[in-house]
Amino acid sequence: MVATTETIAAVEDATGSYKYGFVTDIETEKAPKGLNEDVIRFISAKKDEPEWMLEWRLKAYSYWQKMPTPNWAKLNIAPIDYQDIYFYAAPKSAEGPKSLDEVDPELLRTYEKLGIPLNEQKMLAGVAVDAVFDSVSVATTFREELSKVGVIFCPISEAIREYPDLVRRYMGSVVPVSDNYFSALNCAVFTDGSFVYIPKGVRCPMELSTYFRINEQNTGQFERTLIIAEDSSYVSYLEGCTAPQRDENQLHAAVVELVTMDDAEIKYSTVQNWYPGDETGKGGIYNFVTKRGACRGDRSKISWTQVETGSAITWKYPSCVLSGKDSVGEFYSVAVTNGAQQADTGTKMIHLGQGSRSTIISKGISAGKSQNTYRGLVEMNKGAEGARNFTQCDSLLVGDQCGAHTVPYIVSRNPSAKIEHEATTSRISEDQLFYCLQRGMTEEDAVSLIVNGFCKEVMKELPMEFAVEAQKLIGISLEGSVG
Amino acid sequence: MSPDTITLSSVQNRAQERFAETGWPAKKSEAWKYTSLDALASASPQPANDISGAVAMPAGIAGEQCRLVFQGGLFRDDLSDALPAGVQLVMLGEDERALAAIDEIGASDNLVPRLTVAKMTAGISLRVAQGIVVDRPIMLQFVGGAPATASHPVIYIDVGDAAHLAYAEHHETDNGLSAPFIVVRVGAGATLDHIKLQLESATTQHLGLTCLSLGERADVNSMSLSLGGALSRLETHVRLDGEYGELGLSSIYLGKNNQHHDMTTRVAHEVANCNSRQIIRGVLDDKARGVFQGQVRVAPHAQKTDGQQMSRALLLSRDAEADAKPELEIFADDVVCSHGATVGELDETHLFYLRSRGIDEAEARAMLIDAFLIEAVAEIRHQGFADLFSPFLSGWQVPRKG
Amino acid sequence: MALLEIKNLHARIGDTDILHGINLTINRGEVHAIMGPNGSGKSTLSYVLSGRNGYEITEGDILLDGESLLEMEADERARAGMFLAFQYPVELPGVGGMAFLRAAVNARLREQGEDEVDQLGFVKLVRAKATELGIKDDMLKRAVNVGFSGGEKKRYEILQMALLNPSIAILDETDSGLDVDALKIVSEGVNSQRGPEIGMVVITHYQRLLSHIVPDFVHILSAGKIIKTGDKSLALDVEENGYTDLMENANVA
Repeated sequence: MVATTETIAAVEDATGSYKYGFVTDIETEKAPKGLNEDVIRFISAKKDEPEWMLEWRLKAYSYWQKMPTPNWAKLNIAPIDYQDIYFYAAPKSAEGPKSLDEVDPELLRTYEKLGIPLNEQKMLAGVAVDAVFDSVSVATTFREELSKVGVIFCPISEAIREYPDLVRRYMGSVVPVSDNYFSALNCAVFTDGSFVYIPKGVRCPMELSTYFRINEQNTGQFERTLIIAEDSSYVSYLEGCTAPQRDENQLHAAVVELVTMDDAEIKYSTVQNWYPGDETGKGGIYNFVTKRGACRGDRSKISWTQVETGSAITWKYPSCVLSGKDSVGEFYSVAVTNGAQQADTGTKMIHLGQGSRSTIISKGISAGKSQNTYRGLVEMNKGAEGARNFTQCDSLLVGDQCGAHTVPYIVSRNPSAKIEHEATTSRISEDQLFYCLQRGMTEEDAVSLIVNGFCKEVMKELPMEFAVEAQKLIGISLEGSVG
Repeated sequence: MSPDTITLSSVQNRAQERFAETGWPAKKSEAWKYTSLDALASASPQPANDISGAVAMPAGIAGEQCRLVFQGGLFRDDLSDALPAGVQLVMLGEDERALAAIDEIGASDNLVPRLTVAKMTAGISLRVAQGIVVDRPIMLQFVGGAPATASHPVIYIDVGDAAHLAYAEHHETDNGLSAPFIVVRVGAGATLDHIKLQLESATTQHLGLTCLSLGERADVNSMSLSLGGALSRLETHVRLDGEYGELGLSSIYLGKNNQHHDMTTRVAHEVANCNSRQIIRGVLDDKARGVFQGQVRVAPHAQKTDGQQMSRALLLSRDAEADAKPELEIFADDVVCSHGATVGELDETHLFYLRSRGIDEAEARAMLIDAFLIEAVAEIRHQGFADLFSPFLSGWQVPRKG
Repeated sequence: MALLEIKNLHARIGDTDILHGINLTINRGEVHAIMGPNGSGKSTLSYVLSGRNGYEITEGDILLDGESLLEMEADERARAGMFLAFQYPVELPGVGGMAFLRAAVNARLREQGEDEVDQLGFVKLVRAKATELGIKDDMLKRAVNVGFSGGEKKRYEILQMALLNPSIAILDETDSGLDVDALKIVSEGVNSQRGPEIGMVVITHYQRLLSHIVPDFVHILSAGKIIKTGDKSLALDVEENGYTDLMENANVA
């Protein structure tokens, strides 16, 4: 029996109640609309960048101009007019405050609304926050404590000025400039992001985090993050995003590069909640992100854990290049689509090193009229002696108006490498719902319980702080109208 | 174009135009991602004009069979057997319904329906009357040809409601290109048993497309074997158009030397209550490459679909490569759909176990490979076909030295 | 006032009429057994009472403490005090046994305007009741009913009943799939919850269960109607003689 109209109604998107829907009214200094060399020079000048950085940007821009817009995913995208976007919008008052006292109180109030009380250590429970607000990092806390152990955690614009050698060595080495359309664009116009460096043998004493926000109308978010983990180091990094309601689509094309050396580990967790658009899909965020980790060192490990519930359009494949011997790549993902959202996400595990291992657990939940696609690549190359991959992709359909698709690509060039892939499709059965209802739970409770059970294997990989928020987020994103 | 004006030449002209528009698929195109036709596109063998003379006929199915012979892609009526009762054969040009079906398929972007129809070397239409249980299998025998020639046979088969047909394809030619295009309509309540043996010469390129449509309560059991050729693509598209249809679609590919085997399937569940099941096994040695692409699509409202697919590939050498892309496109929620894919090698522990019982390495490997393939072989419902099939598997194994 | 009143209940699934006028009154403290051959409508009755989708009531009423249930959804009826022990308890992959219990208990508390349970206290309470039913700790950590044996599933149902304190409990063929030992434990669990405040409807095909859970009344259901009512000896009667005679007599009468 198919889901009843009650069930479907119970999980339809609450478009009117997007929890974080508000706009901060602060003057911003914008570059003129559109994209050309002048805008790029403007950005570079604003950031006080060295010559080599500007050259890098300009080179990327010329690559980008020659590239065709990608269209192979199962996505229905209205063409983006790049001349109609502001590529730089910085809050006027923020030119590098030295302490929180110097931060615009309006901004601080904004952060409070978002639940990021920068000035309360207790509530943060030791999490350092680098709050990126519309193209300029406004505050960075806990820098002293981190610097005691040699950990560098700062805005990327600062890293370009203060640690140029490190930046030049690693930026663009994991995601080359010409890798894809959106990464090339990002290289040309990125305005900020995080830079993290963990020295040898150091276990980063706290989880590092960044909050993003797109505020200004028509401003694309082009964040760039670079995390380097030297031999035997460890860091757990949290990325959580919220955005206000908007009528025009907003473009988000970030690039994240991770590098791990021998015995190092980076755990990168994301809870993403960009505005998904209204029930027809109008006005939501376009989330095109290139995330890649290079496990260069032997026995190094990179784990990507994500809970994606927002965006109108998501195009995102956090990947691992497993070069090191016995290196490990992991991808745990929950992607929820509702209303008219479209998601084409997944991962690429490129096995180069002997003994490399990868695990992919992907849980896709489709509701409303949405389309949710998992697209993954597992590639075993000739040197990947004794390598292993295990992939489990499960799709849950809620209602009969949505679609769930699985497109795995499996390539094996080494007989000793073992690949195991499994995919299933299911739905919340009437029986399961009735069982929960008969125990007194409301339909919303029941759906949330069952869906979280479905996602359990992924949820348990999330750091504690995120796990609770993520569970609630999944429930909310499947809710019927609130009230 | 109204049915009155549909003729073979109009259909061929249209196919010609369509092929001119799209040409050979580009390397980056999604459907041909793992199989490159660049060599073929440049060489482009041409259809033979005239074939005559004797041909070496392979042994067929034990017992009675009705053999229809295609030499170098041309239909040899004189070498073919008389048709069994209840089966009619006409030239394609005389069957409007067949032409319409072929024309419609050619409208969507596909290589073989355009190329083969445009350059057709033989076109026949077989009709099994309603309710007839055809008393012996029909064997489509493809032989002869030469490296410079291309074989482009178009075959339309209509299995009437509640009828039963078993047909086999045996491709063992010397053609430069064999590109058979076969369209089968299985009527309501009808059953079809099918087997395809691709045993082409070492220099032949084989691009076959079979399009099946199943009516209500139709039941199809199909197995394909790809063993010969330099490059082959056995593509099968199935539409489950009637409720309670049953489909068993399996394949085995065995690659040696520099062979390239591509098995591509698309199964579309258009309506509710149908079951489909696919078992694919591949074994690759030397520098061979095997590709499996299997798309299962469930349309909205195709509720209570049960679609299962399992593909396994075995790599026997360091230079072999296996690629797989099992794909699910699901638009209905009350369905059970799953697929699995594995790639690996022979298990050392199993090998050791057999050898510790006195069995030599070559035989041990052969036994394990047999065990690997057996689940697919067991899918063949028609006993005569299963018997025909098996010798090719055991004959394939190359004894290893150390 | 009666706890549960079923008045002239007619119900159907799709186009098929299953219940043809059931009349039954259950008072607090009473245990009623409903027996009948396959196809008599026993499961349908349990689903119609608990409010499962897909069943349409064409005539009659169901009153719980004098209030009609017809307009109430399944979860509302549950929170009003109705409990159904499923014949085939449903699997919920990934949903932990303890988490499920907590969600059910909290749903009830929330409606009553009370605070949710204190986590530690709840765990202690659950463990205590679980031990009585021979349910080990690790079973509660597993996903609900996933990989549970028949006996484990039924015991988990009774654990839920113990925690939710219903006023009316419907046990749908609780004995099916149980061996002798499991039957004993489950029956003991049910009996320990009997009391002057709770009413029970025990649906079963066989008499066996009723030797352990001794009913106050036995009703024979056939073709969607109650054809005979008696005390516990009626069950023994059925065991000896089968249903056929009873059914024939009913048709004649």
